[in-house]
Amino acid sequence: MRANLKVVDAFWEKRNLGVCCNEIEIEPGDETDFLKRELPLNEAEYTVVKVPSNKFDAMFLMQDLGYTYIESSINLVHDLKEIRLNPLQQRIMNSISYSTMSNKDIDQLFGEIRKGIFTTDRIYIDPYFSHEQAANRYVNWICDELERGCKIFKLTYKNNSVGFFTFKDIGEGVCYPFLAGMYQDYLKSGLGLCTIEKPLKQAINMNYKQYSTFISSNNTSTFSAHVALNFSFKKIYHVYIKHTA
Amino acid sequence: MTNLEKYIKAFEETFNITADQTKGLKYQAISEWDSVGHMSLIAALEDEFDIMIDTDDIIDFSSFEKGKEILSKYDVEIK
Repeated sequence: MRANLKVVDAFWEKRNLGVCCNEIEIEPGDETDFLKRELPLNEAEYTVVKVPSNKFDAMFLMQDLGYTYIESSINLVHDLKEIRLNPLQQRIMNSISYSTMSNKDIDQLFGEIRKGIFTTDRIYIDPYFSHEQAANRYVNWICDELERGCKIFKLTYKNNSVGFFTFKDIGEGVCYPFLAGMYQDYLKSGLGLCTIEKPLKQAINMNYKQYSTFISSNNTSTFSAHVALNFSFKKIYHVYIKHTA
Repeated sequence: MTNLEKYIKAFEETFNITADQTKGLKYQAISEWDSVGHMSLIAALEDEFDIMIDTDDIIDFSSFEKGKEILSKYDVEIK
């Protein structure tokens, strides 16, 4: 049994959302009494708790402690041996290219994010926060990751920027494209598969061994696109939130 | 089978919906019509009418009604 909960002071959320936030990760071996005692002691204005999928006692405890289930986070991986596309998908993907973003491209990306291209994340759907806060959180996240050395690419169709993807090295031959999306004018174009196929291509070109990603259960279209591209399921955890401000 | 019947059948089989549900149907109006479903629908229509749809038209194929207009460019009249 652990002496302390795994609590991260998510200080960046004060800048993003204007609240003090703690992110707590429950582990499979954590006993119910321990959680019942420790969780209330570690709450902040906004508390996010990640519960392993088979930790049923904790799922019910979350309800007893006044938490709201907001999403499940699904970890999918790809072994990068082959990108299997049907002939039509191949034809479409061949018409889309990708390249590293310039500063001007990044400005365009931030403008697109502020238009509201992401609408399923736990901040966007939470009535305690505004859609502007949800968008700015993505902008700040990308800025932080760029400072830490991540790469960011634009997706181009017929000289038009249609979307983007990020690309982060998380060590041991694993890459983590933590965010990708289509721009507003192309959200309903049916080209969304390129936000996964192009980073897969980039990972293969850079000799990575594995591509790892987390998808929200609120974003079913992205989940189905990953399934179509032969990703494998690795793990899932449920996310609960509580506002005490 | 008329072209209209074939067109409706492609929607029914791709998205597992009834003919009644196709009228006025728009991209993303149902969870099945996402980017993966879109590719499946286009593939079904290309097979059914033995055509190859241009990428610009695949992008513009935003609804059941719009699709009829687009297919007319490929000499597939759906009435």
